[in-house]
Amino acid sequence: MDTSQIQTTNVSTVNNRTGLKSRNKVFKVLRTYPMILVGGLMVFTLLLIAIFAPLIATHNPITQYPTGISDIGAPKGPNSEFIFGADSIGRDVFSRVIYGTRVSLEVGIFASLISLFIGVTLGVVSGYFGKWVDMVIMRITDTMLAFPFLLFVIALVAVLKPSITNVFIAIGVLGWAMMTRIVRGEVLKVKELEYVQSAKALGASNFVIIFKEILPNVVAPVIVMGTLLVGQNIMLEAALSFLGIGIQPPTASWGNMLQDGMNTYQIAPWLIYLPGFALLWATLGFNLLGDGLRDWLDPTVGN
Amino acid sequence: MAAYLVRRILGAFIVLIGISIITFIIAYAVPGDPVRTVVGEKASPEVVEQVRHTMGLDRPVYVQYFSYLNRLAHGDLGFSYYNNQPVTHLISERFGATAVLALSGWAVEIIIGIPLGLLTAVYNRKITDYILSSLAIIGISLPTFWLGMWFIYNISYKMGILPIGGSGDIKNLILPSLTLGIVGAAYYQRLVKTSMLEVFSQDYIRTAHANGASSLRVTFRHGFRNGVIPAVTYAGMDIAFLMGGVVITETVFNYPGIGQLAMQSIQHLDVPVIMATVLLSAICVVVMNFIVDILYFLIDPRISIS
Repeated sequence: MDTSQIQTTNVSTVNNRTGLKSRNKVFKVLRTYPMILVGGLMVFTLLLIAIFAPLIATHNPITQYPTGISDIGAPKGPNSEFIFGADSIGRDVFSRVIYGTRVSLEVGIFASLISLFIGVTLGVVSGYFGKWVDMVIMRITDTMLAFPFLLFVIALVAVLKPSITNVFIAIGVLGWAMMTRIVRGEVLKVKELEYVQSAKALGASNFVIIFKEILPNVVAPVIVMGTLLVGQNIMLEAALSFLGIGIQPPTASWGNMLQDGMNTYQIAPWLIYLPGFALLWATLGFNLLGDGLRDWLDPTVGN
Repeated sequence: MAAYLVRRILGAFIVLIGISIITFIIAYAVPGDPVRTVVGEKASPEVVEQVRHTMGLDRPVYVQYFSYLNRLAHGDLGFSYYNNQPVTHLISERFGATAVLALSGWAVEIIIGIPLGLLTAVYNRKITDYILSSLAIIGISLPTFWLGMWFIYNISYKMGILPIGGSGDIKNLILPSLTLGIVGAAYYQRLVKTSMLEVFSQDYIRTAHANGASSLRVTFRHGFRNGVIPAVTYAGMDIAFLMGGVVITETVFNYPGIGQLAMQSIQHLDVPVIMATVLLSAICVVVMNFIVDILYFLIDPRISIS
């Protein structure tokens, strides 16, 4: 991280001491980086939907309603009872999409936290201690990055047996490599700075230096990467569920809803619209938020 | 150059060993007894033990790993019990189809991504940039399988212009490669934009402007060649991305390639095939990265050893 970065962080801590100034600053950031505002609002709506799912949903997401199926056995399209139609076995599409938000966020956030934890730990250790430790960790990271990620996760989930927990564990445990690389790079830059060197000269232990001097400086890129990672992982969960090896029905997931739509789109095209739109909303929201945060926190990019 | 080459080869070799270890671990951890898959549920315990011994599955793990490595070195990827064929045969049958799909997907990425990157850099912070950059971020966020289904429903099913799936004709390739390429194009747009902006701020570009060269000439003759180099290095990473996308695209479009084979083998827990597809795609990534690094070194020797 360069010096301008460090200055920005200092400025923000100073401003935070006075409420008014910090509020002004928030407005200024949001005005300068509208992507943060738009992405943030999109993510916020998702959180609200996930929390209040039982209040928003009009039907039970896993009940098969006989009224959702027509006389010839085909799912009914959007009508007054099922506003976005019913799926191939008579469940309410709208309510399933609402409950699917919970699954997506759960997998997206927990998987990212796992990757974050592994990635930051390995990145800091690798960058800080250098030498053979760095050699070993970086070779492992290279190996992980060589695997086509989706195929790798598919293979692991297949081995673990699909369930919500196994899906986010598989995604999280395999997805740390990029984070490790980025954190290591940041640590290498910070490590040589004067104040770290002087802390060392004053006899501070490695532990203290890592937690007090190094970690605060990698927070910004980690937040950016973490935000983008949540979006990617939501997409990955949907892809796994779409392929039939992620979240299993009757639990509602946007991915397994789209799989249902894939088999019946000729007679029920509404099955692919709402879940796909929800998925796009989620990935777009996290991508916008992540990109906006990057523009704000890392002025060297994109100017 | 020689020292760099040796180090690079050594690095790639270590990664390949790592890949073989990881695929072996995954295969080893697969639930269910591979011997039972071969002999069936009704076989007597004696027969099971006999077969286990012939297959070498009663030996210690590390011995099994080395014999796996030995077989790999001889080009033996095992036998698919589900398809009742050697895995090498299954894979070589489908490898061409996937290579064609991945290449045309890559072409779509380049054809869309690089001009978009150039435009957004030239019109940086102008309305053109904002519109195109917004499109690019939507592109990155699009779920591949949703895009594919949307194409199938609207273009194949409703309009009937292109086939719904399958392979064999150039027409079968259009929708799958668009599906594969549109999502990835935005990555090239970003890379090209960032590096072009960096190039534009260099002294020699200012000099070219000061010497009276037209903007067009400066952009293409002086800027483009330097600005596009970073996009070249991404091609290596991109193979990993494309191989993942191939799994989804081939499944959606019922396209008979490696990705579809991988999905089928996972559904039937056909372990040798799962291992082979993962292994093969990872090897493609390593080889591609290696080639890109060497190319990069040849294009721009300053980069060298870092």
